[in-house]
Amino acid sequence: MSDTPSTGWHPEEPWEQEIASLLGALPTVEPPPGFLSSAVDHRPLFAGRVTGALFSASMVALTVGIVVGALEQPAVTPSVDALRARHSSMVLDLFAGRSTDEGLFSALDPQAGPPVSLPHDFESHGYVEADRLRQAVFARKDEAVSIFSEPGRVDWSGLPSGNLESISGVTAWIDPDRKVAIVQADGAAITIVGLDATEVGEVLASMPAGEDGFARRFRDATAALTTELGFPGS
Amino acid sequence: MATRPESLDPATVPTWEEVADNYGRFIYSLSYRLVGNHHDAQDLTQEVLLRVRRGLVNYKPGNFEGWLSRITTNAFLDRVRKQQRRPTVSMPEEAERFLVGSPGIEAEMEAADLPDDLQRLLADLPPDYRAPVVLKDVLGYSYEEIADHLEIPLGTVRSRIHRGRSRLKEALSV
Repeated sequence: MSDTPSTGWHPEEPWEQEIASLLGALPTVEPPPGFLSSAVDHRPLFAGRVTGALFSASMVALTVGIVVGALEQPAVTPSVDALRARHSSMVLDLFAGRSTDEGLFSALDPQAGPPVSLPHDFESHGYVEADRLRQAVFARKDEAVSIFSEPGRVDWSGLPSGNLESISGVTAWIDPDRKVAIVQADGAAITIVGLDATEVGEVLASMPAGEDGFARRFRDATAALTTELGFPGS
Repeated sequence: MATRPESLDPATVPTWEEVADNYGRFIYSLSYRLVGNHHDAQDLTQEVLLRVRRGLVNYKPGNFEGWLSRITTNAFLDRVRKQQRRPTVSMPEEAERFLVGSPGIEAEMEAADLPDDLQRLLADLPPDYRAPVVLKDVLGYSYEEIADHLEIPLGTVRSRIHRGRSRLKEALSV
């Protein structure tokens, strides 16, 4: 900065007061829904107090490194239309009996972990991976649901018009026709396509129990799910 | 000064959780005013929360909002310095889009989408002007407090605020 300090004080001129008044009237900027709770959800990482000599300096550095890593995840805005189209295409093939590319769409190995079945008799049919996007498909009779995972944190402000709702304590973006839901899980944006919003709640609630509430339960469950599916960010 | 939160008991040191819960909106709003968009505001807020977590150990009860403001503005200026060491892409001159000759600042702003457009003008200020202007005019700190926050001489604070306002006035008068 090339400015030099002024040598003397002078009273504010009327135009300065006018500018100051305009700036002072700027409203509070609200963070995108879910952002602060997402940040606060990292509190378990912060919660442990480093006391005495129990933790070495290297452990502290490691902890800070993990925290920094967790908070520096890239922002991701799931492409709702593209994911919906991808789901539809996959489902058409599935129900038409057309075999999908085995290299891309393979049945889950039951031995690799429980092939997750969802409430309402949805059973897993496989998953596909392209770039950093993973898709798991579950079906029952003539209906199917896809669960997409993209590494990063949801950029809520970039999503199209929809409803932000709290489903059993988890902030979810719900599209107007209530067939697409987006939630933030540890390290990944999870997009669920094909379920009614109420069913999303049931699916989330059905996941394995954790120790302190639904949000924790969902995070744990999603981490387990993404681990089993080999999703990144798990 | 819409963004300043209610103070917690100044005699006690809040926990990190209390900071995040009670001051998260304050930090975010200040971050947004400094960086000018939600994406960078989220990143800056997270950086500030990290610094708060690290700094609470040494925090002495006092002006907590001032302490947070200092951390936020310093984190912002650190980011700017890092970015200045990297190649940058010029942003379009949004200000010219709506600031075509009109009688006065108030009328100009009433005719425009005031908060968004004023924010864009604010974001066009050089960071070293923007930070003291935001602290002074958005948050209402005194020149002395800003000099303390930014660790620069009082005269420099006055000069930068004056020049920052002057640039805003010029932009509004084009």
